[in-house]
Amino acid sequence: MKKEIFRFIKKGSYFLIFCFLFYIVFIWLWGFTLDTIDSGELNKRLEEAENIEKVDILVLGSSRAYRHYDPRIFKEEGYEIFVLGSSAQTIIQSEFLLRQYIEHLKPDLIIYDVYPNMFTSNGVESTLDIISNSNRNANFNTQELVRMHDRIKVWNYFFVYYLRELLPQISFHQQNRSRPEDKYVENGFLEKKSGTAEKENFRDNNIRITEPQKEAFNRLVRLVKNAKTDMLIFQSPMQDNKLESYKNLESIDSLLEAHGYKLYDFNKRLDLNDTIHFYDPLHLNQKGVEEFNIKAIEDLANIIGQKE
Amino acid sequence: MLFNSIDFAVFLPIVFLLYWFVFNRSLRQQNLFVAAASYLFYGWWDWRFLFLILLSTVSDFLIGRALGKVEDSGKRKLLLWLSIILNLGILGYFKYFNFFLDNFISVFTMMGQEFRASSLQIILPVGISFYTFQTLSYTIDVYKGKMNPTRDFISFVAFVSFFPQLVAGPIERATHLLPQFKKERIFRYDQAVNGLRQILWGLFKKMVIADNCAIYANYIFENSEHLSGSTLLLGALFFTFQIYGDFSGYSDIAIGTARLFGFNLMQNFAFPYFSRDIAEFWRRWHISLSTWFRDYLYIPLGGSRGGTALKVRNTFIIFLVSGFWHGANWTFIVWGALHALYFLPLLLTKQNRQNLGVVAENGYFPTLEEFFKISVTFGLTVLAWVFFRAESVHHAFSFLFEIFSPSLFTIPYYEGLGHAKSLLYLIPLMLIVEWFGRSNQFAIENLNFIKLRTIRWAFYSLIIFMIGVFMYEEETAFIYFQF
Repeated sequence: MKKEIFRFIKKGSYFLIFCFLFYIVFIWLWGFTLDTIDSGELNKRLEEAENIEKVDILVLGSSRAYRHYDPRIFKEEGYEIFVLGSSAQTIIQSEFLLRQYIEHLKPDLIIYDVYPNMFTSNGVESTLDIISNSNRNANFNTQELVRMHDRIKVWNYFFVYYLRELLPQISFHQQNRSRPEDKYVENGFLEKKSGTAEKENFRDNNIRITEPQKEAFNRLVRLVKNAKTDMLIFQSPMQDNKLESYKNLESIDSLLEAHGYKLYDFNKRLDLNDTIHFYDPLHLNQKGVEEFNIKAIEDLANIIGQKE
Repeated sequence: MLFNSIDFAVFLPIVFLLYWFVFNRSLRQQNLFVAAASYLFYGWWDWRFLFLILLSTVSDFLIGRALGKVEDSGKRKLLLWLSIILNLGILGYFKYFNFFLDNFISVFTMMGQEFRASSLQIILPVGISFYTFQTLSYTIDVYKGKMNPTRDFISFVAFVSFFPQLVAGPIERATHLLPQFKKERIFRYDQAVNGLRQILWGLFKKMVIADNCAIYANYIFENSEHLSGSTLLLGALFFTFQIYGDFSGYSDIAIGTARLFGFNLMQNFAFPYFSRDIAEFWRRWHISLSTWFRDYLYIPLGGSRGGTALKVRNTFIIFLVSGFWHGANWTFIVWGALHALYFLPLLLTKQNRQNLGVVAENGYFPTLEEFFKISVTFGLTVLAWVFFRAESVHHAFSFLFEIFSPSLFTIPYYEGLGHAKSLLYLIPLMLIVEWFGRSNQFAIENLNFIKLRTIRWAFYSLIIFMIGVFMYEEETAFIYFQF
């Protein structure tokens, strides 16, 4: 009987090796069916970030960052900003990206644009976005980011893009599909050419900060302090119904306060129209962006003035 | 501990190696190890409920022993009822207390009386509906003289708590499983390989089909008031495949795991969506539960003997109880009643035992007539599943009314549906594999017609690859876990 069991274990081991090789080959083949994740031009943003030497303000955050902070408006007021936002970015990815670029971009100030989902999401979608857009455009290794998730899906994507690098004669770069209604603006902004929103109803969303996001925030704060850079935490506007659907926001306030930060919530600082200034519940259209940026710059000057 | 978890992936090989290499010196030692591993497996969720399963085990063991000694029929009946009351009492308290309380209050309120009582915060122990029925089968069979009571407490503990099937079945009969603990298990290479194959197929059904269908089914059912009839129909279909993939997947993993340890568990699903009528469906869906009700409830009530009224009564009792077993909600009872209505015409016209064999047994494809019958039966079960999944009977009716409205003829839409396109080929792929394997215990059991091992291994690797690519990221519980 023991002979049979050893035979079973031996054959099982051979199968595992076979399966692993098969898996790698099929992952590589499967990669050909993947489009680069259409992510709000992250590939262009990362390419630019590699070539810029210094900025006054670095903006981090989700699509709300790259849709809401227009470098042209800030430039008129004398601020050189770069928006290092990415689709569905959470604190895990923000910390990772900041670590890659903080020494290179040397910002005098970081504006971290947050909203509640960043504290509760697992961040897998954003990691996949960074993996699929980074390897030709960025000078960093995404393996560390992949290990933070420990999920097969993330590893699959990592292998696809890693294999593309190993086998350049066979792999190909898939063009990012830009949407016609979007316009990429230098320094990381993605302008929505047109669009208004309708008011929607939302179910209550009880916010519970996950441990990985909390730890990522702790690391991010340490990173900022070690770089001796200032950071302000903004919440850019969203539709009222959307904001009201979030419950237990005190947990986020507590986390920020524990590190000595305050949330500058522009939903309270600015009175925008839910249909005229937005193109969806979470994103401003260009009209809304202009209103928001003017107010943000005005408040920025006051905040900086107060700190000094 | 979930089957589709890293914990189990670590647990199983360790238990396997210890079982065959360390604790194989004696049967008693091996059974003790199985019992310990099973208690560890079960306690992984909540160690407090170990006392409950131990209580059920000890009481039925002692009642069994007593039944073996007592000859007086009155006393024997008393002992049997003691077991039934104890087991169903535990089940009733944990599963149904709040349901009965809420309905009791509603009745009083309807009569214009005020009745105050607060629901208890009762956590439903995992698998309670399964192991209570399993131990009950023991005491009932001992009472009936079908088997002798066991004096081996360790074997009995291992039988009740056997980890592959403890949490969601198959509900094993004592006459089938307990004797397997009393004889030496021999490791058979073919049996173990078959076990791994069955585990693999179960994981595919659970992690690829069920978990992905669940995303869309859940959204559609939770937002049904805003969606068109065509989208709701899609939701019902997603749930149909979710529950099949989930439950039959679990059973496959359970049976496959048991094979690794030399145990043979009963088949629990025999390709029910290929059934040609509802009677056949119930011979193929959750076989361990339906045969349990048949043998311990339906037949003692008289079965299909007696007049029409008795047949109708017994049929309704079985299906209503079966529905109620699934959960403390009127939706499950209505689901059961609906199946009773489907079944009755077949029973009354004596057509309920028509399709006993495998559909299209001698061919590759069904005939047109068989295809029509399969489609109708499938359609009826999809409609009934709406009640099973809905939050309330009212919700189910609203759901169905919208399906059968003019909006059924619109293109189904909601924002997330685009991501479901992989299911458009994964579900048919599963059905094709299951169709060609329909004569077997499980779909990919008999692949020896593929002579080249490399090709067989490539096929298994492809399944593993598909699990890796399509699996839902979060560990997801099996639907039947909290039953």
